[in-house]
Amino acid sequence: MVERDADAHDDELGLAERAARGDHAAFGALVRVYEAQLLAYLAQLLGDREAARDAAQETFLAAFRALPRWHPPNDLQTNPSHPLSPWLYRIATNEALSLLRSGAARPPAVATTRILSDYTRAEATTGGFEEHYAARELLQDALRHLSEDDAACLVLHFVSGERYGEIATRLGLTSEAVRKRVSRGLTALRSAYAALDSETRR
Amino acid sequence: MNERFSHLPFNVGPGDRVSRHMDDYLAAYTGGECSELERVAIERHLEGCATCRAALDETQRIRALLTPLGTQATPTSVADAVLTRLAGDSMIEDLQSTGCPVSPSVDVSLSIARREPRRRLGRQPSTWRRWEGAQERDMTTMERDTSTDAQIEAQATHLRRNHDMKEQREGSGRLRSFAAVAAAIALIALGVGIFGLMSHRGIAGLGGQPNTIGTTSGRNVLVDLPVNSTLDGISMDSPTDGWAVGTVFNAPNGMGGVKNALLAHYDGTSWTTSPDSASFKKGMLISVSMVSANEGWAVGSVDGNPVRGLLLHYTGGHWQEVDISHTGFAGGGKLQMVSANEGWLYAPVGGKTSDGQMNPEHKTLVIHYHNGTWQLFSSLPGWAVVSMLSTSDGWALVQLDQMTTLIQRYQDGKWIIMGKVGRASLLTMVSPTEGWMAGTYDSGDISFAGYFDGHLWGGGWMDTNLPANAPSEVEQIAVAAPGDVWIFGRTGTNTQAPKTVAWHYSKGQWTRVDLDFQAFPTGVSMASPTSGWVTGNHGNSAALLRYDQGTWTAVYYGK
Repeated sequence: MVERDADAHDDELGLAERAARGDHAAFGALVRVYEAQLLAYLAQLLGDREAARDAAQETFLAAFRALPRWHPPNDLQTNPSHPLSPWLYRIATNEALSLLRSGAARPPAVATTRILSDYTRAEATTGGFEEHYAARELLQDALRHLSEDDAACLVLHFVSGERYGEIATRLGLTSEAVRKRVSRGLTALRSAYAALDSETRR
Repeated sequence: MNERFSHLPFNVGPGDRVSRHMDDYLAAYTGGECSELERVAIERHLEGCATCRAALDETQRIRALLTPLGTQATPTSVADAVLTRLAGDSMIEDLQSTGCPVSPSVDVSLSIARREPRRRLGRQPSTWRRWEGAQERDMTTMERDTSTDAQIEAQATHLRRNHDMKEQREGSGRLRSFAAVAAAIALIALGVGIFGLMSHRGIAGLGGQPNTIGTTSGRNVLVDLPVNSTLDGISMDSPTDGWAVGTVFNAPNGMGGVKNALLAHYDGTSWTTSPDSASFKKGMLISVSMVSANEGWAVGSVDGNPVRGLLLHYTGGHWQEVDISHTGFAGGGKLQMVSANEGWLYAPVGGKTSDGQMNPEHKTLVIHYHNGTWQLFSSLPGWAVVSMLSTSDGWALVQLDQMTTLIQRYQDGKWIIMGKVGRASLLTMVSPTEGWMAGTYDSGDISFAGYFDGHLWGGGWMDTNLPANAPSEVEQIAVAAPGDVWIFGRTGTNTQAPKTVAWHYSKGQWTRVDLDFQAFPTGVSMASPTSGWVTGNHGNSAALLRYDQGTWTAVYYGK
């Protein structure tokens, strides 16, 4: 959920300005505003706490370097209290997708086949090992074919369970744009699902 | 999947100016994001359209599958870490080194792609052989054994239970190589006796004299090995150079007597016994790993009370013992050297207690060699087959019971249980993106081979359809080149006359190769895709099988 503090708008822009001039303390305050939501988002996207930690750190460091050239969105109406939100989500998504595509994110192994599919995982908390990893594989396959905005919409809607309106605020998009991107996400998911399904049955 | 809802018999309000995709309706409908007008129209349509009902059903299943991922454990905070890294960097230098006038609102990917190498990526080795050049980290923070107490206890309980079953199987002569080797090593390590090892070798002939010439046959290979000797491991550093190791049983009254280590060298034309062999009295060697013609290691144990470990280093043309008892090493094990400066030894400790009970302390040590020093790196409970890729990545198969093996991965300084599989006894990781395992599953003892594809997301193990549908078991595995794998095993294991066979994986599929080799395979080393050797034991004597230009030929059966 995106908070709507009355003063946050000034605060965030003010902090961003100071951080852009190299003020570490101001940037630290910005990190604390965003870290919880970005860590949760990255963990859901990557399926791995440690990978999420790394990706979040890289995201903030990249943001710190790029802040001097950042301009507030022209239309502050979309998310007046958190003008940095869309930009940070874009950096984070980009970071996570390149991690996934390089194969360097290290979620647990997936197993899809006859003999190896009877895995159970001791630590698995939800579903079974098999379902958990089938879900991970499905998500990964779908994300592989999506742009960063589409990928963000997919994760925020199908994994985080956010409404189109919430996602629009977070990413600085219109609800209609979110709807279109979620739809593309479902297309990618269904085609990945069909591929996995036929693989499992083989 | 890309069909449009063009056959919908309705218009859905203002939104239909937009050319709506079938998946748009499915997503919006199942996500509760439809307008009321849309919802009613869609439901009316679904009543009469089986195609759309099936698609709806699939969408709901996808939602159900993905929703639990929302509970993914989340790290708490990175603020301190970020600020620490910022403080550590000089911002100006940083910008200069990235050197990129980024336009953040347009293309963030550029700035990310061009900055300094990722920590996580930077230390991923590109290949197994090259990993030593990669950045190493965390040597100081490695935990020796970070499985939780509960996990260890659970595994130990299984192992204790399993032990009784194992005893029965040994008695019934159905001992498999993995269990045989591991059990034998453990028994030796504890000084319980060498009978465990002897059980699959039978009794040596009487009155054998060392250093007589064994029988040779064919292909211009001379073999000069002592009688009453066994071969238990082999490592070829090239098609024309390598070593095989084992034991010479010198005693005139059978195998229970005096013995010494056997170190046999191949020089491209003949196998000869190294004079160094005689230096290691009462020694038995079971694994060897050469990194070059001039450098290598061998491992085994020395009889005594207690039995102790024996680790030999080949350098400067001679084999010399190296004492690594500080690591807890107590004999046996398997070597996997990476280079002259880097390597691994996986060795069991703790087998049985003095009253013959399974020792809950039984562990497999993972011992690391780095720049001249062997150090205990980690350990796993019970019997484990290990293959490390680096100090930050590795895999292990931990036997839970007769039918179950836990697949574990070493990451971030600890072993994590990744899943389980039938009874897997062979494991070799070629690189971070390629690995192989093999074993049996079902009570029918059907062999399988698993392939690790690191290009899958995070890496996944897959079955590879080993053509082994009859009762069969696997004993040895070797990778000749990436994607070129040999497994040696036996078929007809339920009959009195099991046959030794090979399965060859090449160009994406397995081919079974029937061998004329009347011996139990104990070791294999492929120097290249066209050259390799297998050591075996038949009855109580050594045997050698050679692969040359596409043909396997038995070249030696000892007396």
